[in-house]
Amino acid sequence: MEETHAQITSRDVGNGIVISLLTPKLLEEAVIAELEELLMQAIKQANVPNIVLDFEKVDFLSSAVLRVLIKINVAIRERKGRLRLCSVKPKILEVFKITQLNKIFDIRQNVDAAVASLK
Amino acid sequence: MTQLAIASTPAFQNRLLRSEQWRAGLLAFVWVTILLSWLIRRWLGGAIASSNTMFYTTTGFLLFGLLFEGLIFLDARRRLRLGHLQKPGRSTVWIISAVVDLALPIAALAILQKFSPLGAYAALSAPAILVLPLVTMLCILRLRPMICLWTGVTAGGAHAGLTVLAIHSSGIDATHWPMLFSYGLFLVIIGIAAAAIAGQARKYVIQAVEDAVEAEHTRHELASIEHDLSIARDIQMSLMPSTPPTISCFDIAGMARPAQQAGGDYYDWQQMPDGRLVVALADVTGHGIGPALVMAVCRAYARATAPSTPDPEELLTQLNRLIFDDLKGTGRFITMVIALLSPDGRVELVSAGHGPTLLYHAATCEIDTFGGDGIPLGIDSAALYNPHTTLRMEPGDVLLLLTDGLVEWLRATDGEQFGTDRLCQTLKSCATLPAKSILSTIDAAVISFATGAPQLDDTTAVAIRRI
Repeated sequence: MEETHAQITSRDVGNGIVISLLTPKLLEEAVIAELEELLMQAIKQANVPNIVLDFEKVDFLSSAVLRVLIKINVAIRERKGRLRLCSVKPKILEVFKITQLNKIFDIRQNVDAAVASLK
Repeated sequence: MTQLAIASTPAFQNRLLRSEQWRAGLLAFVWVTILLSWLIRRWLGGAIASSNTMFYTTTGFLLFGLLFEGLIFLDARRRLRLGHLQKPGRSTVWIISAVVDLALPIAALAILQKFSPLGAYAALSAPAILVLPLVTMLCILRLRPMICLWTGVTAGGAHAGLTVLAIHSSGIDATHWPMLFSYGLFLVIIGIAAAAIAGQARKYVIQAVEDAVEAEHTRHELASIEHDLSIARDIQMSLMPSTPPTISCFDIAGMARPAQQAGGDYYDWQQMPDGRLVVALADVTGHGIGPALVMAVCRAYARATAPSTPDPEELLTQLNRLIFDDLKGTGRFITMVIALLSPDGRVELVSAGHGPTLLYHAATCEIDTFGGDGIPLGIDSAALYNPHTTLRMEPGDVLLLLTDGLVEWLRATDGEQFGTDRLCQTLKSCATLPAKSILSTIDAAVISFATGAPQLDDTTAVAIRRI
């Protein structure tokens, strides 16, 4: 089986950091654990972590990813930052709706809308 | 483990004995070969072999050597078979053996020097000299560097001694002495080289034994862990209801299959004092022993709280508060769906972030899907849940509670999920069967779809059929 690794890119857009998740299948425990590490690092490095998570490249994710999102949400709020999710594919959006986690996470249509909402 | 400790383990002693067996066998083979070549030399009329003194003494030495090594070989083989690995005084025996091995060619050379028809000089460059480094080489198999070194030194010293005797008795020209003494020097160098090789070989054998000991240790530990996990699984399985509940108008069945030894899903049913039946199905994030523990805790809270909580959404609120304290900081959460069944056919359905829950209507062959009425348990201690949905189930209707492991099982060939659509199709096709058969049909359909792909998540479901 091919080994996948969690990959992200991040860029500073002035009033926040846009982190793009590049791994299309976030299903394996090991990969998700790597992703958690990367995101936590990015949050620690920022002064006030205003983060936009871009899900454009993500096709599948398991509930373990939701767990990571909840953890980083708590970490961000503790440092007085804000979290936005964006470009979530319809199938994944379904999962957020069924679990009602769309009430906890602020999900926007695209990166620009998400960044704008951080102002 | 230290080198010394490894060297005294039965595994190492076993290999040492095998090595010794090989050495003795090889040397016996060498003596046989030399004996044959000696006989051929006589038959061909070679000068030295034709001399009776030389012939019979040399043949005698070779036969003695053959017998000696043969006995060592047989003794080593016997001890290996019987397992008598450690032998006190082994070192002394080996030293005697090494001395005998050397003594034979040296004695042959000495006799050659005295009686050779070609003169004393011939003995100093006779083929018999080559037997000395051969014996030194075979000594490597004893895996004792010092014995190899002393063999080389003794051989070199013996040759030097024979050279001195030859010079005395035959008056060899002084310009030949450096060449003649070089033989001795080379024999010592060969001894040093053999010692180095023996040292390396010994290290390799020790490393191999060490690795084997560690592998055995790890195997033991693994077996012990597997045993514990299988106990955990047994306990967990026994927490799931084993008999179907009795409530009029409903036929109910459940199934659970953890992805690993222990899983994070569970289902449960519990009779209420007012005659209603609480059916719960929950999914803890993740699977394995950690989530299994959380699941057991959640089940306990639910069982304890349900009898005194008539409203299912109130039950979720209370459960949420209890579970939040246990899970906070971990990011773990529990999705849960509760169906409260009344004997008159009414069903009150509420969900904490759990879905899809499917309701099949026999009359229209349509399926309604239900999702969460609030967020999963354990995320926000103050979470509130929307009021429950009251379902009116007609005879033939089927309510299916399930966890996402069933829907998300991937196919081996292209990685596609079984999906909700296929699930709905399958449910429509078997909705007239008893609840237990509905579950086994769906289970079979998922497994057949997966075409051998492994189960990555726990699969759990409860089928409730209105009769």
